Amino acid sequence: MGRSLTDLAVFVAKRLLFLIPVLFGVIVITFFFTHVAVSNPCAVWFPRAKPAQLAQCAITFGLHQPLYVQFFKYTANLIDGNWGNSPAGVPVLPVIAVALPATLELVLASLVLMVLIGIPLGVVAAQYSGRLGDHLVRIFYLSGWATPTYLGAVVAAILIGPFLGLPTGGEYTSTPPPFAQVTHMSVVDALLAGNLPWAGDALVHLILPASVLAFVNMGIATRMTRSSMLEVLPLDFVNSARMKGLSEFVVLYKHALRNALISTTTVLGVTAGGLLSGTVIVEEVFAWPGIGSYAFSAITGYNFSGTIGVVIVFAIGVVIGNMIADILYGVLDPRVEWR
Amino acid sequence: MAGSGSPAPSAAPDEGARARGPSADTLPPARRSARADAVAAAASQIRRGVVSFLRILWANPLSFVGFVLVVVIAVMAFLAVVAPGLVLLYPPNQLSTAYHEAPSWPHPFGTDELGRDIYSNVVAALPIDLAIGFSVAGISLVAGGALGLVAGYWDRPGTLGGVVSVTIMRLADIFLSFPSLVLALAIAASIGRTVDGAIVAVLVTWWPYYVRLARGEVLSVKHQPYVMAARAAGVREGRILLRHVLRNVLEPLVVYFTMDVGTVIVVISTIFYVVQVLPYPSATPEWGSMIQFYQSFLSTYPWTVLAPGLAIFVTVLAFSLLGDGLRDILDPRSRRAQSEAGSAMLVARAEE
Repeated sequence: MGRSLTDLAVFVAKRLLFLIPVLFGVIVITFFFTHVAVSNPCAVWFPRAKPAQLAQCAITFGLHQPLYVQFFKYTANLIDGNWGNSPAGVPVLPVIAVALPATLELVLASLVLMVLIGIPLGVVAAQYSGRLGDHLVRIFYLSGWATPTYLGAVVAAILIGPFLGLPTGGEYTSTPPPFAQVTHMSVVDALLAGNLPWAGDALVHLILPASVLAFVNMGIATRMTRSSMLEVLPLDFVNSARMKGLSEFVVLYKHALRNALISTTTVLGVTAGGLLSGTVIVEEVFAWPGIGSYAFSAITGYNFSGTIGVVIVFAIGVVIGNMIADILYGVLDPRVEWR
Repeated sequence: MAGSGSPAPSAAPDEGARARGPSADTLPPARRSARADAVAAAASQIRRGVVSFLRILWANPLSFVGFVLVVVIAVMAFLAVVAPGLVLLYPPNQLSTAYHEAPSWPHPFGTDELGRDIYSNVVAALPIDLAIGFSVAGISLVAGGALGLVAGYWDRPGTLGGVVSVTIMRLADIFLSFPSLVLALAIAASIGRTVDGAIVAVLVTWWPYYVRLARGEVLSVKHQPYVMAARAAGVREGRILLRHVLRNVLEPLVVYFTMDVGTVIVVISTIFYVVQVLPYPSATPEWGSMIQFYQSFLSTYPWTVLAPGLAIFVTVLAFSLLGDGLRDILDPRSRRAQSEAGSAMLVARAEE
């Protein structure tokens, strides 16, 4: 094992192979709970249906078959690209495919905020270790940690948004936009269409949901930056940088942070799960047309195919997020070998 | 003579009893003081432990705040179950004509549109959230910790233990890659939408963190000289695991558990918020359900949402501050890393 491109390719392939047991696991678990706990979901979907209609409904959805037959049919269909239908008959996969880019945009925006705010805060905390600045930063990131996503989202949407005059719902002020939504990422689509006012509008709509998501997930990155900075700061190369007469800013952010960032990157990969999960709440509250709000409606609306579908996509997201973090880790630290 | 003779036989059995075995009040003076000394020594050791515990907490003001808050929260939760009259101002969900009153002395957190006292409902919700937080984190600690202990201790490849160890760790790795909150929501929504269902849903995704943590700690402990010394002295493996290894991996697990109680409360209240498990108003109010119910009043009567929100916030903060402090107390490594003196010590050791 080493650091060549082939090593990287082998590493990526291994990680993608790991997806197979993970996906099998989530599918089995979600399928089990959705199909064993609820004997005939038709009764939940159509509360006023007569028994004969319920039997007909069970046949339509294949629910009269033994569980293992249902499971094998479902998995076979999944591989074929047929992820089932919602109770209302809407296919799951096309909905997810359209919603996914919007969620990616939101998650990336909050990642940018976490990096731009969370990491410098960690540096400040390390710089003033044990003093007021350290305590203030600690209070800030612990506040985010202690705020449930739904509370932060509701307060931001109802109190903070109107107070600051920021929009609190949707991707644009009016939908649909006067251009083709090629990528389904609001800002990117507007930029592709060369429509700057709409791009600005989309960006403004992104601020609140992305900030909420970043605020509640930021703690771990700040904390990690702080502790690895504390490990790096007493080392010789930092002292020699100071002795060379470099400004404290350059010493902290260019010399020390570069080495401290290595462990922060891994932790950012771990937050991928938190960020993705957070979208379920944030997108629902901010009417963001992504996979999170779809997950919310599928989970609460007994849409079992939709539920399994979103769980699969989220699981893929978590594994890939961790993989990207590990790759970045290798890029940042020349000592790391991919294996 | 008869008069003087009669006491003698009665004294004899007494003498015999004394000879047969010392009872608590008939111990010879020397041994009695030895036992008292031991008790006193233990008591002073505990007292010293408590004092140093409090002193270290005191040195870190935020952790001290966390400790005090956890104690207050625990006492309030206990009283809310045992003697509700002491901590609740009104019975939960009691209606009144004080509609939408802002916070005041009679109603510290205000009232809602039917005159329910928000403070009383927030406090009445304390036991259920706290109990779920403790039980989910506790079950995960015991189950995950035990699995991690086994996986870390008997991990030699090619043995039965090695196979078990690899199986446990692969399973834990797979579960760690699950999107835990989404999966928990999905399970809770389909399992029957009960409190038990919500607990099961969180547990399914919660245990592997403890497996990872426990295994890592065991791996770092099991090659220590004192473990080898115990083995060389012929101590049985199971006993080494429980008396020597477990005792030394327990501290990081307990620290993680302390912080985890707060995390579980956030997750469980999110489940209650999304999946209407205990739709508010119900006989047992719950913070997530309260926020879900009152959220449309946030701009007009903000206290209805902010009060339960503050309750979650403070509870979670209290547990993580306390956990932070416990880590500093129990783990000398992190204490050293955080203090200037520590780094000086490291430098000195490197120079030796």
